[in-house]
Amino acid sequence: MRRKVIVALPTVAVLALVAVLSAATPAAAATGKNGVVEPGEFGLYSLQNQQSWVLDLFVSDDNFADDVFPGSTISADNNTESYWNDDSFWWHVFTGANYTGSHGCLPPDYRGNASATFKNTISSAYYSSSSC
Amino acid sequence: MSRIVPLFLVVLVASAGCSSRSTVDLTGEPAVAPAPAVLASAGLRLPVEDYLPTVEENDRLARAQVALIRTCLHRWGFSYDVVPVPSGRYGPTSLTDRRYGITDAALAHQYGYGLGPRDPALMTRPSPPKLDPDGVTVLSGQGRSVVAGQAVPTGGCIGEADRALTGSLSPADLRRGSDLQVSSYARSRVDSRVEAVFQAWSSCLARTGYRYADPLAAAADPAFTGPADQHEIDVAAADIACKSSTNLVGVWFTVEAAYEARAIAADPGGFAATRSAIAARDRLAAAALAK
Repeated sequence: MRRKVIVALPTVAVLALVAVLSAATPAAAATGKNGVVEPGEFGLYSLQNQQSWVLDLFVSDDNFADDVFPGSTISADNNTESYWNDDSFWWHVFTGANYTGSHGCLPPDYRGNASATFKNTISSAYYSSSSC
Repeated sequence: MSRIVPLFLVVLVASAGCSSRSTVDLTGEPAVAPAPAVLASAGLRLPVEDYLPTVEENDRLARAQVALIRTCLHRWGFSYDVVPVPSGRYGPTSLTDRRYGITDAALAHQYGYGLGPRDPALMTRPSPPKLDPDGVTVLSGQGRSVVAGQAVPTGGCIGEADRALTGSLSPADLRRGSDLQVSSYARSRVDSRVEAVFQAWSSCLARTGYRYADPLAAAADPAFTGPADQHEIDVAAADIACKSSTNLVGVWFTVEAAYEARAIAADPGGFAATRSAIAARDRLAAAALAK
């Protein structure tokens, strides 16, 4: 794990990123919500340390209420404990659906566990070129 | 957009600035003045925002980072074609926009709980930069330590850029404001004054035939995941009307601001260092872009 707490703000980290990690694979290759975090995607895991089920997002999602972890029947809403941002963009996460509530940002190439505030409380997310 | 700073908060923060760290009691619920009547939240300004980067600073930082990474990768002959997305055009307009739920009646009348023209789903997703495995190694620092006869920087070009933009600045100083805006929200949500206004709002909404415990529960209704139908629009309109009649936004904002003002008063030196660190980083970003 590179960082332990969700960072609502820029440590400078890397904005640009890494995503590039994604680099070798064109963005079009990423398939969101197939249960595999591919380059250019943001993964939200059901347990800490990137364990168990994962909801992999390639584009924004304004309400996790209709999402289950791919391959399961388990709701992903308010049910994620860790992240892997394998994207070159920042991902903005919200405790409320439709981008309401408390707001945090995860830099590119970020892996870590959710802080107490964001553990099992995330309901929407989108990608951006900037932090928050 | 105008940024509203209620006078009582100015007084509260100014007073707090005179306090020493040891005399500020961080336990219990902070005292608050009567909440001003507020509905629209996007223009509200929380005390913590003095210790957060501005939108311009965040954008400058991002552009500088990309420029530095691009320069670094060029030493190996790699190109770095990052296509930024117009982030200022999508999502909430400010830290306080939608923080206490939806408040824009005109938007709700058309889109329910949706963001309408600011919906991030409307963004066109750019392709990421194309790099071969050597390029990824140079970029990220993962893998071999030498590529094409040149040592890969620690953390790759991302690490190199990060160091160039932070210098000797303390990560804790840079992060203090963002940590506070997260914790103040969490604490305010379970504050007795906020819980009371939630109950008032919920009772108001029940009189219109809708039953939700708090405004975020309404926004998260699984029935509202597709394009807004008339039911969603009706609930959203009732939600906002009840926020207005109960002054939910005014109360919640006032309480959260009080938690922030108290925390800032408890650590004036730390928050001053945060402001200095953010400004110093912005100067580094501007210098990087000027090269």
